Amino acid sequence: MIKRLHQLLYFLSIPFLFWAQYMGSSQGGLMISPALCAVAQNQQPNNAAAFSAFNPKGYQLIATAPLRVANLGAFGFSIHYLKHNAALYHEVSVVFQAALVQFRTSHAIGYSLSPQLKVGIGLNLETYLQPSFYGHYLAANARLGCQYAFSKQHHLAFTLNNIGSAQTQQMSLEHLQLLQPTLLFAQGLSWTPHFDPSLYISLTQTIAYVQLQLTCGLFPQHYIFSLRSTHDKRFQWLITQRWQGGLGPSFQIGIVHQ
Amino acid sequence: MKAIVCIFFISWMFVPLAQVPLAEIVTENNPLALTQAEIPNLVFLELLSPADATVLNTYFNNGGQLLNSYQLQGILDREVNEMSLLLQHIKIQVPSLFTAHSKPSFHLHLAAQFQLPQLLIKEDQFVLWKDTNHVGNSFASQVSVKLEWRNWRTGLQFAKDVGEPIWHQTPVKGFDFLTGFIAWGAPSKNTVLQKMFLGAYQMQWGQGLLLWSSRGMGKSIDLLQLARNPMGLKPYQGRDEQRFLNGIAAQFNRDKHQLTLLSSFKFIDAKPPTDTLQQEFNLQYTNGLHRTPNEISKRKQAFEQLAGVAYSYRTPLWQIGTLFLHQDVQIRKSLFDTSNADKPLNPLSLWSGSVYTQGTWRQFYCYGEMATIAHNEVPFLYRSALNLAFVYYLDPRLEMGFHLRTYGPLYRTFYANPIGNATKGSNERGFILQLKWQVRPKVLLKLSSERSLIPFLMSSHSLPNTQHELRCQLHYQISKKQLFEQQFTIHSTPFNKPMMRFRNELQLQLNANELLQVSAQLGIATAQALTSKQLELNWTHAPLVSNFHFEFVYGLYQVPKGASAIYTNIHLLGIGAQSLQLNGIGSYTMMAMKYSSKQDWKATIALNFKHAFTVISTQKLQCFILLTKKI
Repeated sequence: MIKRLHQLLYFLSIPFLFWAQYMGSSQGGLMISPALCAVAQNQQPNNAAAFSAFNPKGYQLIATAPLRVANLGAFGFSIHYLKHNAALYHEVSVVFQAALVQFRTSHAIGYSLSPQLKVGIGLNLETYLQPSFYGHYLAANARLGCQYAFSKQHHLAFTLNNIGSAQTQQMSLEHLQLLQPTLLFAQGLSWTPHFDPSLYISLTQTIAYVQLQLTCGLFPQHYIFSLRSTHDKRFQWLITQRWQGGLGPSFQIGIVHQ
Repeated sequence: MKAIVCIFFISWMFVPLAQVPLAEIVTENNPLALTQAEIPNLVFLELLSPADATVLNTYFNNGGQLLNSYQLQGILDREVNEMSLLLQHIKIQVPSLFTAHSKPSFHLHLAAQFQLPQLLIKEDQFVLWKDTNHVGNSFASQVSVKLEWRNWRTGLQFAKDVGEPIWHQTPVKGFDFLTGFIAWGAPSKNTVLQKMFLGAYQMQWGQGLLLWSSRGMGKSIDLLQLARNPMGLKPYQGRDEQRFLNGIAAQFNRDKHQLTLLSSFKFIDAKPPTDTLQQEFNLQYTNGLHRTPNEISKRKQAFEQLAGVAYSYRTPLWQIGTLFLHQDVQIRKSLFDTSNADKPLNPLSLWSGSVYTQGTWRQFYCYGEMATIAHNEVPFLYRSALNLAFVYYLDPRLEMGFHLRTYGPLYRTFYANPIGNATKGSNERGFILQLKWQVRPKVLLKLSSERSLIPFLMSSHSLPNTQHELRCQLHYQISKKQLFEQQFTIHSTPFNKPMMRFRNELQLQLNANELLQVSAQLGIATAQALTSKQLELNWTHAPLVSNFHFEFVYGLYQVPKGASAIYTNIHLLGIGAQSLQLNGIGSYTMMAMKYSSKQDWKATIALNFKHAFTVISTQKLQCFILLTKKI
């Protein structure tokens, strides 16, 4: 089992779900990898049930500064670990804007009902730190997730996020297929009913010491090309080029330390 | 010598053990009375899961037959202890020759179902919803009791719908809907008198052209499933206030011959004669609901009488039958009581007859029925109706079918259900071409092309027109407990651009306790360039050994005004079918919990929560409670 005690990640445009409404789409933020199925890496930020035996524990530190949006930055810290056969996940993140500071904490617990079936539940709390003139805001919402392995090659995952809120409720589905041990194909959708369903397909391949990922989707139309060096298992770097209809291109770089 | 005598004696002692009597052979083989038509009932009773039903349907569709419980156990892949409840319902009970009636049996079945009033959620407060046009309370209920003793069954039920009063004072005093029955069933198939009914009952005959009192299923893409399998006489304890018969009926069997005598007398809803200028009684005046003063004024205003005799001859491969029926309805009020009636109102009185057949010969399967009403002044074709279908097995993997229907403009009958639920069996012609292709062992492709027309102008809401519908269905049995279905439908008329609809459904038995269903619908109205979408997730937690079962349904939808309509038909655990027509933008959440105690008490509570965003945003909460007990 690969031991991942430390993971440090710096990149731009990280997946903050509450950005989805700014973009007018069902897509859950500017995701580098909108993965709901966990095969080798923990994906509990996206799906409370997406934990992997190959990545039992670790933590990550996230800093964000989108270049195209002025006066916006984000910082986040998350940790995941296994305890009594349950996979736990905790996250604290802050988004700095010119007018306010958004503070958010997220917690999730996942559990295996059988070797094929994992379920998870999560809780998010969010508040705005702003002048009292603008009022107070505190929101709590839940998320549910499930991951099911048809076979070693085929995985299915779904999530229900914030279903108590009429405006921001979201359902996501993903099917992942291992075409080869080093080649993954994923197709999925994510839908908030006020927008069109966001559809995507993704192909991930590991060649020698490089992992390549190509994702393209509709509603909104977007393309993501990501290159990740895996030459050094403890210290990795990441380059991502993204283009989205309405927002234009964005360039992302990252460093992974584990 | 002693040794020989000893061996002989021992052998003689063991002979009865070696030679199993015939009755025991039959009993040991556990013969079953399970047909494909019975599968939906077993799913409804939760004895079969939908995944099991799919497996069995596939088995029957491929020509399979179930003869004993071991066969069924193998197909369903269940343990012996998991089969006991199911077998109680479908195992043929072989009565002992001497004690068929000697063992007293007494069963009492109580059921009470309540649909509580809807609660509107306004500004974080619950407000009781009530339609101010409705006279009665805004809850629905159904209470029934059924008693079984030896070969006798009797039942009584009371029901009311949302908005209906429990007790009516005018125009006819009485409970809103009260039915009862007494039934007797023969202990064996060798007896001449097989069934006898007094009270409310259902009658299904032929292909439903002349008499099919219950409501049928929707129009299937498969002609073999479109073929009706009439169940004959059945006692009735449903909530439908229109589709049932009430009177005396009996069924006699002698070898392959079957004779059924039936009569029905009941008061039905009708528009009072002062309210209409139409001379004849029209069944379309009413909908069976008595909520508003206008609806209540129609309650039990006509007296309906039916009398008929039916004969059928059945062999394992063929059956043929004929039915003669007299139907009569008269308005209860005398016309002479009304001052403004210038002409007397004619009651509707019909003498009808039908002939049906269905069976198989070599690689052909056919079924059909022809019905007509007696009327000297109207040409035969105008007062007749015909259903005719052929299915031809070109290859074990390829099947082709034709279905022709032609219903004369003046053909009428009170209880028709000829094809699907959409047509009354009058003033319509249609032709269906169907192809069923087993592409791979796990992949089945079905194609259906239907052209139908309404030839004559008979009423203002049904103008003559032509329609064409093309349906294509892909059925992929991923594994024994995993199924994927995809259906594409295109519907077009000469004056409108086509409407397209896609439906995908994935059914996964995740493990022994968990069932997951994901379905998605997409409708495209090409004329308006509008799309309607729906995504639904259904999770059922139903362990066989547990008393507690749980179901959760969550759906999102987007149906703009003018777009193709989207319906959901959710079969909620312990509650039954819940149909919703989706409008606007929103979501729905349904939850059902079912608890069954060891004392046969069953309690089901279902919550239905719906967000809808149309012109005004609404959030509704509704609760269903079902209690049943067997003694």
